[in-house]
Amino acid sequence: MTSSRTSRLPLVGWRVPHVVLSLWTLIVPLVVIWVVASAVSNLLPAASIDLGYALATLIIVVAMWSFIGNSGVLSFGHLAFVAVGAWTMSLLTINPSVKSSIMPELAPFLAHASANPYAALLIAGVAGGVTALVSGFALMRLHGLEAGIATFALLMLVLQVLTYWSAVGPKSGQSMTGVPRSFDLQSTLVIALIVVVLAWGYGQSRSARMLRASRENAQAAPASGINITWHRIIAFAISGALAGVGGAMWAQTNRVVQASQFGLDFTFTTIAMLVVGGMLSVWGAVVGSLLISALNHVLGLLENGMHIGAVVISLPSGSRLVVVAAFMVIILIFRPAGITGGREVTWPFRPPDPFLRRGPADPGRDEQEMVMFQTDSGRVG
Amino acid sequence: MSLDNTERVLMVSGLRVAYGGIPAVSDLSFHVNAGEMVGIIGPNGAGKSSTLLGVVNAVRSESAETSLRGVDLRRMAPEQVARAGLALVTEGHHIFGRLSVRDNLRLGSTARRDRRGLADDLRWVYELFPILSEFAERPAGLLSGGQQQQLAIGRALLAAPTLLALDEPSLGLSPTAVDTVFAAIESICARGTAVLIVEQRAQQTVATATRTYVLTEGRITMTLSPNDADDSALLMKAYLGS
Amino acid sequence: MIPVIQSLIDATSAGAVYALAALGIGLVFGVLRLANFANGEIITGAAYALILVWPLSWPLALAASVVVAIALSLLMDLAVFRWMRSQSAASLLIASFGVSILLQRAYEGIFGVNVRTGAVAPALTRSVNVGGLRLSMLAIVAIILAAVLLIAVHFFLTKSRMGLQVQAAAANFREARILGIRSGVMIAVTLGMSGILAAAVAFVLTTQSGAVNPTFGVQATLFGLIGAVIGGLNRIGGALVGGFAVGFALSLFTTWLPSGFGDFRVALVYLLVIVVLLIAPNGIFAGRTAKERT
Repeated sequence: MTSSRTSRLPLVGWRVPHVVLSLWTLIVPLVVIWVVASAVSNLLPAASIDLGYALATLIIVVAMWSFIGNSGVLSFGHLAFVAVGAWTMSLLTINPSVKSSIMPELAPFLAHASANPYAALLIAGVAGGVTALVSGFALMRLHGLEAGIATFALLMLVLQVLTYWSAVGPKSGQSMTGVPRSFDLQSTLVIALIVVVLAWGYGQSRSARMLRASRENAQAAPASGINITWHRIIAFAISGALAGVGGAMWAQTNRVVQASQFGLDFTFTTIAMLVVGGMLSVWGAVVGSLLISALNHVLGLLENGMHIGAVVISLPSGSRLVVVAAFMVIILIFRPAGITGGREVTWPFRPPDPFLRRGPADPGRDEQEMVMFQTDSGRVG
Repeated sequence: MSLDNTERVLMVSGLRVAYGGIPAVSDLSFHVNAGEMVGIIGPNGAGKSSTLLGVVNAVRSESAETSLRGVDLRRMAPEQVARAGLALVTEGHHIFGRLSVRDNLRLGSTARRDRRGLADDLRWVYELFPILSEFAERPAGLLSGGQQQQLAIGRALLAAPTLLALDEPSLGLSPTAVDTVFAAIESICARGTAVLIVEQRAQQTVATATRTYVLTEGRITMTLSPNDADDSALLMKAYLGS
Repeated sequence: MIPVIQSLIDATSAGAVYALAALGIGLVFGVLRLANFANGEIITGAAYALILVWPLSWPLALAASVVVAIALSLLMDLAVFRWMRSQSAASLLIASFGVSILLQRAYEGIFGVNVRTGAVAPALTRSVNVGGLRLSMLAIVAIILAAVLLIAVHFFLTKSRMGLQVQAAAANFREARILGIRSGVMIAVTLGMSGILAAAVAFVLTTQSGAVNPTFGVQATLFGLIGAVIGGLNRIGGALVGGFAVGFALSLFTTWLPSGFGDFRVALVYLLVIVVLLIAPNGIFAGRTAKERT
């Protein structure tokens, strides 16, 4: 990316307006998602089931980005909001008669509630956002790393409640079946694109900018009068709402919903997507989730045994996660800022305004070099 | 080994330190001879601390030569540099606040090779800084700034270093505490340990040191002798970087 | 009265186990800034060693569990964390999450998805009657084991030369190196200690359950990590007390929750954690410590 910036001659002589430069960081990811989704559904119809999952997961990862990418605070708890969204969607769209038979102890207002898919999707988002807002008051006051670890507590709390509380779901550990497929691939794609637009739009907001300022310099931000905690809570709530939408989309794709599905494996997969792509940019979230979804699809085929000519390749089941985990660790070691370097897509036609050059999200490579020791066993002071 | 080499304690030539491509120190060469106290002065951000951290490899650096008594330091880890005989007292004297003064001193002797001289050295450090003996059992974090600086210097001395390097030992200290520190440095030098001191206090450093380099924007721009200490116009010029 | 005392003893023993888990995590975090999620898989590895080797010979099983735990601890550092020393604590935590998932799948591949059962120290599963109190031998052994290990770690850190160096490395790694403290040795010693602590946790947990599966160590590690956070990750004593509190609460909930609510004991512990964080956002013992880690 750096080389293209400096080596290409400007194609356009006039100054590119700011708006174009920043819209560019939105349009490219949208076009890429649209092209990939259309290509897969037209050229590889067999992969269209996995495409549905990929788009739902993309929504979840972009939702996670809107918190992690802007605040620089890790979250292992976003699957809690995904689970809440999936639950809401299922409870509102499962046929009431089916609902009463698989969930006999459901609270009356939930037993009677139902909504059309779009309303259900919105309510799922609200439910995820409210859960995030409430828990954010406790979690977001912690220091960065501690906040990240404490989000595990949130995830476990929500999963335990959803597993055992039969007033809000099936009997302990059982699953909700019969979730209708409410959206076809085309509408799933459109919803995914809308979520990317929303997440990107939040990233442009004043609140998100302040949060990023605090991420780069935790000492300076409070000195300049920024209340980090408050902006973190806002980010957490917004990303919780988007994650709720992601959970709803995932539920109607999978059609069976169970609390244990939203555990550490799923958490890990989404984190790995973010890390591989580069957790500091929307572009990174998009690239990472599409790439890992594709990798997962191929590995899934291999696990089932794939014929290449006369040879049958088959991997033991469970090797998907092994490969993804190994891939992520290798990326962390050799390219800690992710494939995109944590940068947004840059305008390719002209060396842009130097103030915009680094985009909203620079991985801070420089600081890393500064504190690195010369020797191999070195570390930060 | 030539006579010249045995007299050289520290030899640095062509030292460069850069943070993320931005140079902090460029092409720096200086040396410290046996028994000398050498000063490096310069304004804030001139690269003084980077020079010391670069010499002990606590930050990424490169040089044509960095050697202590002829031993090449360039590829060593920071702990190996310490064990080779270069003790650095970092800026802000990072003592271990939760450990007692005695334990801090004990940690200072980690790098030393000979166990025999330790008792003598400890007695000497206690003579140099009597307060350390008095407060030996206290948590080091409870000492005043000046006392912590004394502890940091005492701790470095217990490594029995060939060269003691000090990064702004007077920073944030009261005038009397500064005098204590400078007096101690003179007696350390007199006892045979070479001293390299980085300071912002130009006048006092130039007056005490055998030789003082003036560092501006990562380069040595002047070398001063004790005679220059009273030439305030010259010091001013050194500072403003003319 | 007697059931109260009995449940307090059980809770103390559960607390002791999680305190050991949190201590191991806190020690490693202090020196390496690594909040090691894969500590769970070190416990799991030691547990497999105990369950599989115990029928052959119990001393061998104990030795094997300690060796496996230390080896896993050192190996994951050698393979992954060693190459990330200059990276942020968050990156290290994510990497350890990856190592954890990877090892879980590896255990699945080697030992199968299903539970492996086997009696470890069956003698300890009996109860003894002391003046009307029915005390589980295991609870008492767990408390004694934890006490011995905690005292040993304490003496090592405060009285020995090497322990002092570990403390210095934990307080300020760069300064410690500048003083000549060998970073590689400190890291290995710390990882070794955390391995021994993980093996002790595995011993108590396998004796209790007589079974191990690929995700055996996850819950203990989650509780240990979260306990360390509420106690204050930066302070070894804080981590210890946080871990203890979590285990203690879990055991009390298990005993005293009315039937029908028993399923929610884990949820209640996590709820309690979140409430504690609301009240004391920097961890129970934080505040005094923040200044020193620079």
